[in-house]
Amino acid sequence: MQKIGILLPRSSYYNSIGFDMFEGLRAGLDKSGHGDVKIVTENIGFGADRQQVYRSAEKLLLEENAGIILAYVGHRTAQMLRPLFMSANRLLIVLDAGANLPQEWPVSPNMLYHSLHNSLGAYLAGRRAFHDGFVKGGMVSNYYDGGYLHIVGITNGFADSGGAICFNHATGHTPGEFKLDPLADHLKQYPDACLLPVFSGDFNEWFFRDMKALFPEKLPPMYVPPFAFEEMMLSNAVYPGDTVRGIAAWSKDLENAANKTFTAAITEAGREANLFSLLGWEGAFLAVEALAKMKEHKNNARSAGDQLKAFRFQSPRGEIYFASETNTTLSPMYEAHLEDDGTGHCRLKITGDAKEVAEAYSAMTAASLDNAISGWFNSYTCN
Amino acid sequence: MSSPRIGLLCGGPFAFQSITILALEKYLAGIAIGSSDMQTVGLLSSECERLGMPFLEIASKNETGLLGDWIEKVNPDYIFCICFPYKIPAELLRKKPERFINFHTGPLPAYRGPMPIFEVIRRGEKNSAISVHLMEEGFDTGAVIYEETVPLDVGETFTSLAIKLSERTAITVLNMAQMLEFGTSIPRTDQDPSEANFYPYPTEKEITIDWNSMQAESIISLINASYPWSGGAITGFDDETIRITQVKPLPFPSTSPAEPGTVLRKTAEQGLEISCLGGLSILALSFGSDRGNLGMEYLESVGLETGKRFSSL
Repeated sequence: MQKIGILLPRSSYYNSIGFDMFEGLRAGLDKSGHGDVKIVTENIGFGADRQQVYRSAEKLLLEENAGIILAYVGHRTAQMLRPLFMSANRLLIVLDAGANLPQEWPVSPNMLYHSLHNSLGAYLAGRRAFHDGFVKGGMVSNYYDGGYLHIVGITNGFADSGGAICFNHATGHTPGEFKLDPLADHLKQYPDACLLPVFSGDFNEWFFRDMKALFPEKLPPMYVPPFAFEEMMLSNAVYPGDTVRGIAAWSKDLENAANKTFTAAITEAGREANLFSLLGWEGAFLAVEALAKMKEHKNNARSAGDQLKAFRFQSPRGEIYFASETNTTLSPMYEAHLEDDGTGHCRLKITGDAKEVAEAYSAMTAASLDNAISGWFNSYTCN
Repeated sequence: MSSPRIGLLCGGPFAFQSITILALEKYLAGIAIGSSDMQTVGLLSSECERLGMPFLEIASKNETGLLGDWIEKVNPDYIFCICFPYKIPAELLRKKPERFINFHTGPLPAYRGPMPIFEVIRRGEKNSAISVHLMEEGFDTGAVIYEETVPLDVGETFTSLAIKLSERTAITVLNMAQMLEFGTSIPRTDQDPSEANFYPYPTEKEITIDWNSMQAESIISLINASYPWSGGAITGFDDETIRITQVKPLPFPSTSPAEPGTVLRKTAEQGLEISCLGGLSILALSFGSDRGNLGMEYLESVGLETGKRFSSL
């Protein structure tokens, strides 16, 4: 029997993240006609304990003999696993939040990244801000989210288009330390500036709540990346006002056949479709193809990985394909804004396709990092 | 295991980034360098003194016996070798089996030997590699733990590839240390002897251009592979031995027909178009000799002008 291994994360905010990914993977295998493939799992917690991650991967490879491994881990942790997978001659498919930038690390022939592209969405959000007429901007984040390179993505997207970053504000990441007050002073000094906020999970809830309190009359314009448009969080978040625009990776309301199949399958399983079940669902299609390529190439992971990069498939967020120079999948992204759901909470409204996604990805990944690095080991949103 | 103590054997600046990363991650326990270069030795010696680590300078192959005492002092769990220029005494390898790990700067088993960077470039390979392998008594023969592929760019030179490999080695070294720390075993694959090639240190003949038999692309590869370590690819003019040290990355159709090795013109870039086999030319951009760099004025002063021909010594 063929086996797919998956390293599942844990998250304080997204407390069902592991179940969501597993359910997405299982449903994806079922719907693609591969329900007979066995899934073997290992829990890797927040992904920050390197010993735990390494041993879990080793177990799936050596004890379970999984043909393909999926893992929701960050780039830094994936790099640590690289020699293990090279030695074992297996493919690792990293299910990636996309909070970092691929040029921080060299490409490995048997490691492929399937991403939610938060950095790319951030880059596109920065571009969109400039194209909407803003030439001044301020980046806002916290000590957790600010430790990932999507903040480089959003500032570069704005600055590469011609905008100028006039201020940065990084707040603490505990309820007592989360302060946005300095933004009022910054915006007094730069009244024409837009905000470029980068938060995840509960930080987004806090951000929208506190922005509404800080600017009750007129919310400043802001451009946000995909994790600010994560719909489960939005349904709990206070609607701050009508000036929140940005880029979404996906919405449960996207009108396409694959999305209908996906959301129906997840609903049928008694869960609510979200970004993480989406990642698991798409991971199923990639894993099945990877297993086929491994068989075709007589278990030579290098050749199989190389061939896998020609694979394209229809996913709930549109056609997925590879940017082969970084071994990373690309997908359509969407222009979106927030609206009131009628109860004072947020609802995502997709307004159109983001333009020139592949070109933006090339531009973003070609840029020098100028010594910027991410020091976080944990998988994004897993804290 | 807990964080492994790693002793490092190296040959010079190529290993500096690896040393930095091993020290930052608290794996480094001592350094031995096989070099007599005062500046490099002094730098590493003072750094080891600052970090309170045993340091050893091995100035010649006759001094490798000193490694035994150094290993006693360092007491490493593993010893990493990065471009260490001397053969490690067999009794040390036997004493610590599977504890010596080499980071070979070329694919294995296809490119065994002391100068894989030269060999890979001059043979026009599209990829090189860092091959991490367990050390045995034979040269570059031990089982491979893993291989990190490094693509070559068009026009890749010895220097540019060495820099690329040095950077990649640092990541590979960290990966290997983490594997030792977190893994339960060291996976390995025996080298296939039927695919093995051993290339000894290149002779003068191997870095000499034969205009009558070599294609333009091979000449470019040889020039790129030969500088700076050998002073450049060798050619002749009259009684002079001239070295070509830099060349445009790609050949192009000759501007006029001529015997291979003929100077067809001096270009605006102060280079010489030299004809090759098959109606192609190369553009040589700088020259040298055993005495140092040679300017265009010097070449003209010895009569090297349009229509004259380089010889194949």
